[in-house]
Amino acid sequence: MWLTLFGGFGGVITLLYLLRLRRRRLEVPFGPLWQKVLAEKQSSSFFRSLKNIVSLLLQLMVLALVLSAIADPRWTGDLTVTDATTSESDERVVLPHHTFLIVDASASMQVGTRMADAKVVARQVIDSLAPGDSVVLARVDHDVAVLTDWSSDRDALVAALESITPRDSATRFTSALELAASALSGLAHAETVLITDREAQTPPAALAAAARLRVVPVGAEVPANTSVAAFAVRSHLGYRLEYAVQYTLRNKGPGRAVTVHLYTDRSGKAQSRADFQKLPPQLTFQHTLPADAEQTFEHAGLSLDGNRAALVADATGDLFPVDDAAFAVVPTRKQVRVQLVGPENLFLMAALATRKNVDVSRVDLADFKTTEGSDLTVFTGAAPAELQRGNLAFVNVRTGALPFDLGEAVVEPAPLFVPPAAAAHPAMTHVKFVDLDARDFRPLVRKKGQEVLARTKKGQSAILAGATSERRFVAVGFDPIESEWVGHYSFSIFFVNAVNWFFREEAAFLRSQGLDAAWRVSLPWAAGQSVDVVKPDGKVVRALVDGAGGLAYTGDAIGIYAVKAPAGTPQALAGDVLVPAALFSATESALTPGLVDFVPYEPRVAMDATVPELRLAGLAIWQLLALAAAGLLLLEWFTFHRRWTV
Amino acid sequence: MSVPFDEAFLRRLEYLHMVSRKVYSGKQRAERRSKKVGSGLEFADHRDYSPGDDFRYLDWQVFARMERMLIRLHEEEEDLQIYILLDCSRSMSLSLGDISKFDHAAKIAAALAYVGLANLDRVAIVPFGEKLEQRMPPTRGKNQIFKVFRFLEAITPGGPTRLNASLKQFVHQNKRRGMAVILSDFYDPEGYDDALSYLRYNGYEPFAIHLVDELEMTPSLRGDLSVVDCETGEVKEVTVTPRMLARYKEVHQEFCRNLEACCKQRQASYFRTAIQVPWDEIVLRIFRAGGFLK
Repeated sequence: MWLTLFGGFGGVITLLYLLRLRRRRLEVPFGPLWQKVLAEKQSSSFFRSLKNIVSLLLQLMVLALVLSAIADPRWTGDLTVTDATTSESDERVVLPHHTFLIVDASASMQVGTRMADAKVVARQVIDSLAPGDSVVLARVDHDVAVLTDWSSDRDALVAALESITPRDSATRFTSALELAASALSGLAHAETVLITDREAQTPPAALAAAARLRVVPVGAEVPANTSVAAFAVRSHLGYRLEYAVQYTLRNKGPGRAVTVHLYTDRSGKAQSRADFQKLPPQLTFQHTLPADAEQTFEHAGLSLDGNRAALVADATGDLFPVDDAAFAVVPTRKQVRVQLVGPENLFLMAALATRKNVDVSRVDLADFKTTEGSDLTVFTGAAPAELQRGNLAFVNVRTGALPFDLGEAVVEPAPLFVPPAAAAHPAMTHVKFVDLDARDFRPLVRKKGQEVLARTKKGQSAILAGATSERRFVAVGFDPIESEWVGHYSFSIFFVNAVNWFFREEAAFLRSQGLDAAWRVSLPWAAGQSVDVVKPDGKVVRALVDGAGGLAYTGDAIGIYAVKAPAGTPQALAGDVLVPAALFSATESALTPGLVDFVPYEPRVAMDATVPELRLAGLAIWQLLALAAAGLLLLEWFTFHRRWTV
Repeated sequence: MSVPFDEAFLRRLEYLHMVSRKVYSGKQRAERRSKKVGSGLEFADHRDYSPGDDFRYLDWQVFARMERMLIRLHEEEEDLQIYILLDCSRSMSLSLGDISKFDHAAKIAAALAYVGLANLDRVAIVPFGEKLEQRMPPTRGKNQIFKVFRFLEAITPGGPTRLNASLKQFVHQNKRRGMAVILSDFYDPEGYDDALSYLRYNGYEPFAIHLVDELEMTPSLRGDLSVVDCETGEVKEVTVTPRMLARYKEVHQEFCRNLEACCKQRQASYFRTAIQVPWDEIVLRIFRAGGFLK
């Protein structure tokens, strides 16, 4: 690099020098006078050329000295130090060394003394630093965190090392080794030292070679371990007031008896394993697992008390508790309160009543006050003058404030159909229109972000759906009675679907997330809003809803993460989104050190840290070079202005 | 070039006379002595009486004392022919400062012409460079000064200097001899010796007015230069050092001394003046101090 710099700057200096040598033209009245002077004074062309070269060489020497001073050269030629652990005659040459030190902080490092052993080895690496050596300390679990910059400060490195605690997540070396390879690129005498229990996928050999990887294995094999490999709670398929629980247990080692406790929390506060284990288990199951086997168990017809659940597998002598617990969110069996605003409509009330757990009440428009307190408000015929918030349905509404516009009335019956793109909408599940003509129809003019669920052959929208941060709605632009839609089965199904969509009951069936990768959770709030994520240990982190209405997040502890609704969210949308997370990593749970294909690390011998820096007259090498450059520059300036060297 | 004289200055110049060390014959009576012996007031010589001579010029006192009949001869005063030879080569117009040598020479030429015209001398202005240029014919009378101004204004300097060729051409074109005032920097690669000798040999009285620019003598140059002769275009590469500048000054002074010596050797008057000296001061003081004006 320094040669390149010298070449570049040297070229510039040579160019500037040639430009300086380019003679200025001067017109004189009588050339023979100058000719006479020149005949006596000008030296030979050879000597003049030589003088030009001397000046240029002086300038290039100045440049070389300046670059050398900036490079801060250290003496490595014949400086010898005494090995602290060897005799005085055993002398070694000290070369600056760069070490990218990675400490595995995955869940498996919680077993036994693995993390303590790793820190002891890391201390050895730090203690072996010679003057001029530097280290970067990084922690790796499913992600990589660089804890220090290149540093020779042993105290700072040790402090950073002591701050490392194992997480509940799996190990992914790839990103750490990519970072190490990038950091060590171009450095001589450099290597990556990875201290790990090897409970991870083997990284690509090419990447390991690029990072110049050496592995320090820690931890012995654990002969037996029981873990929860999967856990889910869902509504009973036949009777939705009951639940079914399904979980998978993995057993390593000999066959053993396992007791499984199912905890439920109705307070809505339990998040960590400790929180749940303060409660009495609601259900307990006994299982006997065969040797080195994985079994799935399902229990149906359960009545669970609470909306948060934890499953803890208890096996005698288990050394790795992190993978013994899993968490789930219990779908809430909530009564849906529907408010009908407008004249009596038995067809609509009957359609809503086909869904269980629905309480329907009706008020006239004149008596309507607010949508607060209702999970769904249905306006028939007319809407209030002020646009409402929350979950709304508009059926053949012709007046009032609407979130869409109304087109001109269509007199002729208009056949309806469901556009292919709308068939996937939750409100249109199993809904088909056969021989259905819209009558008493005013087309709905959709606005940006709204979706057409049904339209006529002429492209007029008959049913609309839309969702914003303030409201969600469905709208029917024709009279269901005049159109004889009420006689179709799709009429009831559409409104039941709509209630389910509004209530988001199905959305509560979130799968438990694994701690071996980043998750993505769909949220009901608008993009760009700031939300708080409450971690299982109670700590709160701030995150943003992304453009797709979701949240990408990476957990580092098992438990339930609560995503809080943004401030100002309507009551109907204000519930927390719960994300259960557990360690479902077979590799981490194996607790069997993997094969090491990489060059094992050999600790360097600790060097005497009191190696004196070579100085001359109290000055370091770079200072001497800088002084020499300044002296040469002065000499060049002096000789140039006296025309000795040009 | 604007008219270089104001009325007061011109009036002072009227009282100055051109000094001429020789007497030349002229066609008209003027205030100069001429070779002709005639009806002037100033006694010149005697000669023997010849039959037919006017008895009024017999010197009766000599006849009474020596009994010889001698005729008194008187010098006849006639006009003087003044040729102002103005160098209009490129080197004269090259300006290193605010004013060029040519501008300065033109003003001096105008002043000299005015003096000559005011004294009823015949004044001709002859520009030259590589050869003689279109000249202003001899004229006399003070009222001709504006003609002189217009002529000088119309001159465009340029080209090389060829003193020998130009002055030989001048001698061949003018039969009447007289004072030849040369206003020039004398920067001629072929030299000036032959030209001055030729003038002298052909009966002219040369007056060399050497115009020098002090900025030329002591140039404030430094560094690597390509020196270009403004007349020949010849290029010399020079690295100017203080020592070289000192040597250049010596060479220039040597050039001036050689020119002065050459003029003295040929009994030609020589005046060197820097163009940094105001031209009116030159006309009123330096020329008088040098004996050019009386």
